[in-house]
Amino acid sequence: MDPLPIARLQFATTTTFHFLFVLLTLGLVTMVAIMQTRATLRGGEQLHRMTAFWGRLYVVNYALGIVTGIVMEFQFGMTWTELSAFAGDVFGAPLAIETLVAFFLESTFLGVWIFGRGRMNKWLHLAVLWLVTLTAYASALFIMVANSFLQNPVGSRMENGVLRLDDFGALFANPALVASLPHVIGAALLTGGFFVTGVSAYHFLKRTSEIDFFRRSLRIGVVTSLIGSVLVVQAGFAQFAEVAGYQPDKFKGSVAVGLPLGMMINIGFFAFFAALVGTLLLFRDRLLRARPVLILMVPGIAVPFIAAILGWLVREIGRQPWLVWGKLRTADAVADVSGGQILFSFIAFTLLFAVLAVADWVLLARIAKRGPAVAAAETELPVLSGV
Amino acid sequence: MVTIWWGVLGLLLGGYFALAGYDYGVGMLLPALSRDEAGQRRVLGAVGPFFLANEVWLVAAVGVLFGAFPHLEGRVFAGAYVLIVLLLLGLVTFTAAVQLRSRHPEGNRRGWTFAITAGALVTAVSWGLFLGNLVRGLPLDAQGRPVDDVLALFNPYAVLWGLGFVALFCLQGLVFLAVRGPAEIAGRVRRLTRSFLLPVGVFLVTATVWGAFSGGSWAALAVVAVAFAAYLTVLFGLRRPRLALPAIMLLSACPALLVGVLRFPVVLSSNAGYQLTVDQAATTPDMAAVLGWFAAPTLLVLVVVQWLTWRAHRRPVDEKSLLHY
Repeated sequence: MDPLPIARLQFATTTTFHFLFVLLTLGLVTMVAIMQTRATLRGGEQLHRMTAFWGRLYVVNYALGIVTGIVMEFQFGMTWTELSAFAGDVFGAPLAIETLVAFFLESTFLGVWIFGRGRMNKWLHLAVLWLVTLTAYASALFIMVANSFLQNPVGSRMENGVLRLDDFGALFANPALVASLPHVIGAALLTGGFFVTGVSAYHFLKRTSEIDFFRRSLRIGVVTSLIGSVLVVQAGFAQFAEVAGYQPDKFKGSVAVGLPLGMMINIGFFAFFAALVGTLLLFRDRLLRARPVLILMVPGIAVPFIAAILGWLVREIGRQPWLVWGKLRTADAVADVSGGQILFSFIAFTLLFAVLAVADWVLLARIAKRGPAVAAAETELPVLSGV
Repeated sequence: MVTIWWGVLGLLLGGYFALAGYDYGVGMLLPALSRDEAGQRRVLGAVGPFFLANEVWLVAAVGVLFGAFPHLEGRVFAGAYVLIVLLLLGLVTFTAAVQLRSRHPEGNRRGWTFAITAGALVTAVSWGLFLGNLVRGLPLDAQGRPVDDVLALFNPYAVLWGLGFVALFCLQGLVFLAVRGPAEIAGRVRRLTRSFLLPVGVFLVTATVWGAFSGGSWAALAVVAVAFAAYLTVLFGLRRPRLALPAIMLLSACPALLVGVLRFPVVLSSNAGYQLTVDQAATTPDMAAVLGWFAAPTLLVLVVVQWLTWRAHRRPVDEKSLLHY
């Protein structure tokens, strides 16, 4: 059995699951940090409750981001042995820095934030959340640096058959990075914004008594969606000029790339107009009474996720057959592990991720539906809960 | 320079086992420690504040492995493929289950509790099998490529390590609970601790005697001596849990340290004669320097923050503790 297609499918599946969760993590944590900042500056019970409710959803979503990330990290060594042997001297550093600076710090600070609620100085507690947010963005930066190097191996030269680093700074000025990083960050904000908007809309459709709570949440969600969609569309189109420079034939005649690309662009425009309409309807709270719009907002939660997967397909399929563009073929990088073993792990990982992802989403949906009022009641239980 | 990075890797991996080891121990024994929901939450709450921080020591270690030793990473993970897969399946199940179990107040938690126990067990066994194989020499051919023989990874010596790790982590979890566990399970913790002392001692002696035939270095001998000293400290220091806890954490770090120094400067060897030295495994000096600029301040911040976390949550769990998990 040929290990190559299975190894590719396994990595693609793991990355897809990972991407679905970290995208929402990045968008949500930004909004939670803004909510807690306003709560800390102005005081007021409502903003604190908002921080707790959306923070709770953020923490549940975060769990799956961590575990899929660990599996991705290991898979570089498990199935793409030659990648680290060939390009590890360049590619290894951003990846290592991502895990050390970002992942390691992010989790440590998140633990402090969860268990520091109500027990720490409020300014310190706020600072910890901003550190979580910053490290999450640092994580996005370094992983995109690593990915952009695979798309366009700058700052390095060939020496004795392996890549050597010439200029670490060049990795950050990579044309494959400059437009794709804001694009991904825009997508994360859009995903988080649509999520908060959709959940808030659901509660208005159910005639919630928490009008003030979800009115404020809806505002933050809609405005974040608008900012995210502007960024995602603008940076998306900016990439065409950049890609033409380093992968000139990427969009020429390939259906595998063209089809997801077209769909993503349509979704991007749709998201932008939806966010624009939503923002206009915020005047005098017209949105709260526009039930047809609210009804569309609930399934709208899924839209950015679909666009994100399509965008990821465009970027990665467009790179094939190269693993490191022009330098190392994917087929030459795969490990000497038998196809049967990789098939076993592919099936096992996929099943486990599918079960956990569904469980996680069901949990998110239940907590989201329950709303903030019951969330506060949980502290009445014999054991206290944090976020 | 290369040796320093090898030491950093050893520090991160050792730190991971010293800290996460008790997470797995508590996870494996969760149903045995408490039957009712409130009790199980208090047990999980004992590891709660440290949980996320403990687990990511592994992520950092693998990051350094990839960044500083790119020529070793692929060889060792591909060479022990099935064991790494098992390890990840256990790790993912355990880590996700701990974080998600208690997130919905009315949810049924029996499935999650099972996932925690099973995940922790698979993780412990897989770590033992993996490290046992590294001590003995991975089943690689003379060029360092994996041989297509899955069963070779489940050799008797590795299986001994797999079982030994279960006992070791269980004991570690119990000693941890003696310090931070809720008061109501103190008696049960003491009884269970006594029943795990002997298996851990047997594992240490058997693994040492059996492993001695495959040779070793003076440094390896020193690690083994430290391990036995730590074990004796646990054995005679049970009445003083704050002494026994650092000792058992040190003991759990020893297997990884042993693998690191056993044939140093050879860092990976196979039973077919393949050898990879630390210099061959390492990245270029300028790359290591770049990594150092980021790694050094990060590790400093981490040690300080995690130390403060430890201090803030050093008292046993009681009804006022924030549990979250």
